[in-house]
Amino acid sequence: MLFNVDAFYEAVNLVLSFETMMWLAVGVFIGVGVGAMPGLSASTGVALMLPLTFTMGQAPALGLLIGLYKGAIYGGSISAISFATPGTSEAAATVFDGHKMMQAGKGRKALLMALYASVTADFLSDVITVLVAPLLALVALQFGPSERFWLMVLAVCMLGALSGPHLAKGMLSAAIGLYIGTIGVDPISSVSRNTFDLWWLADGVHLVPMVIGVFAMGAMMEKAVEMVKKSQKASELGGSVKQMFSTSGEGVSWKEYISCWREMGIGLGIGTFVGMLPGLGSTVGAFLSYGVAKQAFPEKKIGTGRLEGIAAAEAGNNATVGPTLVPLLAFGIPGSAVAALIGAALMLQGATPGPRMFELFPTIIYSLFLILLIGNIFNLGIGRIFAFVYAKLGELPAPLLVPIVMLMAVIGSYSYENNPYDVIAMLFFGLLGYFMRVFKIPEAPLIITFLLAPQAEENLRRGLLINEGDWMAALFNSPLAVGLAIAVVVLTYVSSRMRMTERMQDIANQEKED
Amino acid sequence: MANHSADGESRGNWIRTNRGIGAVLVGIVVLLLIYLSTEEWVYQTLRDGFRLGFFSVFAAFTMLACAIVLLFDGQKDEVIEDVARAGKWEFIVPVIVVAVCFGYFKVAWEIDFLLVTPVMMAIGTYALGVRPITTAIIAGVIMTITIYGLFWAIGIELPTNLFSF
Repeated sequence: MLFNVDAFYEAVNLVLSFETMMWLAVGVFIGVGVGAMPGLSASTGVALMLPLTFTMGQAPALGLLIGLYKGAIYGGSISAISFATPGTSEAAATVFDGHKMMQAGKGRKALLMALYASVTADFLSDVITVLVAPLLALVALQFGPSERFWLMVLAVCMLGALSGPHLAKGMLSAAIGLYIGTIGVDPISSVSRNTFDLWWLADGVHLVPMVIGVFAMGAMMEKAVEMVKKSQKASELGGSVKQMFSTSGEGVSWKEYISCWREMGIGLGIGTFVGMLPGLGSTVGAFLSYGVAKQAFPEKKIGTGRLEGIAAAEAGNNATVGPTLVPLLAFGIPGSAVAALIGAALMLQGATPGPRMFELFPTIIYSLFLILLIGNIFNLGIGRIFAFVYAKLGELPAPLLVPIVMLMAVIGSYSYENNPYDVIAMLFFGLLGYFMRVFKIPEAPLIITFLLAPQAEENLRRGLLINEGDWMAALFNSPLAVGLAIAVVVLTYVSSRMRMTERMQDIANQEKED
Repeated sequence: MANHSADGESRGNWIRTNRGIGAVLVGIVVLLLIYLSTEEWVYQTLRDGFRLGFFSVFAAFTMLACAIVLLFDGQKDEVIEDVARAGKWEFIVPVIVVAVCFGYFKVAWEIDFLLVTPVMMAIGTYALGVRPITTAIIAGVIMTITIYGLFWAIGIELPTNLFSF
C-alpha cells in the first residue's frame, strides 16, 4: 500500500476542480447554517443532503458532505454564544463561557475565538487522520474473517455502551439495526428472508430512506409535537446580538489566540482520541476537553466568560471530525452516525469503505484527505464572513424550518431510486426515529449496526466455510480473534462503567451552579 | 437532563418509567418472535450449513434481553422528561405527519409539484404557527421555488405535469 503518485495527482485535479470547490463551499455554507439552527444537527443535514450526491462525481459528493459536517460542528457554537441555545449538542459546552462573553458585550470576540479554535483543531486532527488511517488499514489487511467479525462485534458493543446513559437502550438500538439489516436477501447465498411477505422488501431496506427517516423526519416530528403543544413566539433580536453585526466590535488579537494554545492542545488531543473511538462523538470531546482544561488551569477561571473555555470546548468538538473517519477507512466500521452516512455516500459511489479501499480506490482516499484539509480553509472563510449573519438563523421560526425539512425528506427518499415504497419506508423509520428520541434510545447504534450486519454475517459465514462448519474454530481460530472476543467483554463492561453522559451532566450542573 | 429520578409507581405513572417502556417492548418483541417462529425461512439450512434465520432470531432475542434488562436494572424507575410530559399529541401529531406527507407525495407526483407544494407548505407553516396567512403563502411559494431550483441544479427533475419548462 505504497503512496500512489498517479492517483494523488488525479485526486489533486479532481479536488481542485471548480465543481468540487463549489460543492465544498456549498457544503460548509449549508453546514454552518444547519449547525446554527437549534433543532438541526450534522447528522440531519448530512442525511438530507445524501440523495443530492447520487448525480455527482465522487469528489464533489465528498466535498458537499464533509463540508457540511465541518460547518455544522462549528455552526453549533453560533447560537450557543448568541442565545445560550446550542444549535447542536456538540456546542453545549461552549455556552458556559461563550454566552457570558456575549452578555458582557464581547460576542464578536467569542464567535471569532470559537471559529479559530475550531479550524485550528480540525486542521491538525485531519493531519493526524491522514497519517494514522493508512497505518491502521495496513494492520487491518492482516485480519481474517474471524478477526473482522470480532472487530465488528467489538465496535457495535462499544457503540451500544457509549452512545447514551443507558447501556440496555444502546444495545437495544444496535439489535434493532441488526434485525433490520437481515431483511432482504442474505449476503452469501442471495436467498430472500424476513420480508414480512412484502415484495418490495425482497431487496432489503434501503439505507437512504432509512437514514432520512431516522435522523431528519424523526427529529422534525419531535419538533412538530413541541410546536403544537406550545405556541411559538419568535424571540426578538436582542441588542446584544445586534452589536455582533457591527464590524467595529472587538475581534481576537493574535496574542489572545496564541494565549489559548494549551486549551486548544487539550481539545486537539482529547477530540482526536475520542473521535477515533466508536460511540463517543464530538459532544463528549467538547465536554471532556472543557472539563480537563478547567481543572488543569484553575487560575484562568474558565467558566466565567473566558476565551480559553471557548477554545477548549470548540477545539474538543471539531477535533473529532477527521478522526471519526479513521475506523471507517481503516476497518470499514463507522464510529459515528455521520461517519456511517459518509460511508453510505462512498458505497453509493461504488466504493465500499475499508482497508482495501486504499488499494482499490486510492484516488477517492486522497480526494477525501485533501477535502478534509481544504475544507478547513472554507470553514474559516465562510465562518469569518458570515458568522454574524448566521447568528440570525437561530431566530428562524421553527414553523418554517419543519415543513422544509419534511419536504426535503420526502423528495430525497423518493429521488434515491424513484421508488414510492422508499417514501413509505422513510415515513416508517421517521416514526421509529421519533419514538427512539422520545424514549431516549440512541439512533447511531441502529444505523451503524444496520450497515455492519451484512459484513458481519459474511465474515462469520466465510469463517464457517473455511473451517468446515466448526463454530469454535470459525470464531476463535487465532490468538487475535480470542483477544478481540475477550476485549468485547472487557471493553463493553469498562465503557459502560465510564458513565460518560453522567460526567458531562456533572460538568453542566456544576457550571449552572457556578 | 434527560432523565430524572422519580418514583413513577407511587404516582401511578408506572407506564412512563423505563420499566413501563421495557414492558411494552417485551410485548412487541414477543410478537416478533412469534412471527419468526411461524416462518419457514427461519429454519431453512443453506448449503454452507448456516441457518437462514440465525441473525434475525439472534437480533430478536438480543432485543428481548435488552427489554427485560430495562424492567429490572438500576434505572428501572426513572422517568424520562419527554415521556413524563407526554400526552395525546405525542401520538397524534406523528400519525398526522405521516398521513399528510404520504398524501402530499401521492398528490404532488400525480398532479404537479409546483402546484401542490406551495399550497401544502402554506398550510403546513400556518398550522405550525406562522401568521398572518399571507406570510405563510409567500413562504410556501419561496420554499417551493428554492427547493425545485436546488434539485433542478443537481439534475434531479421533480414532477411538473402542468407547469413543464
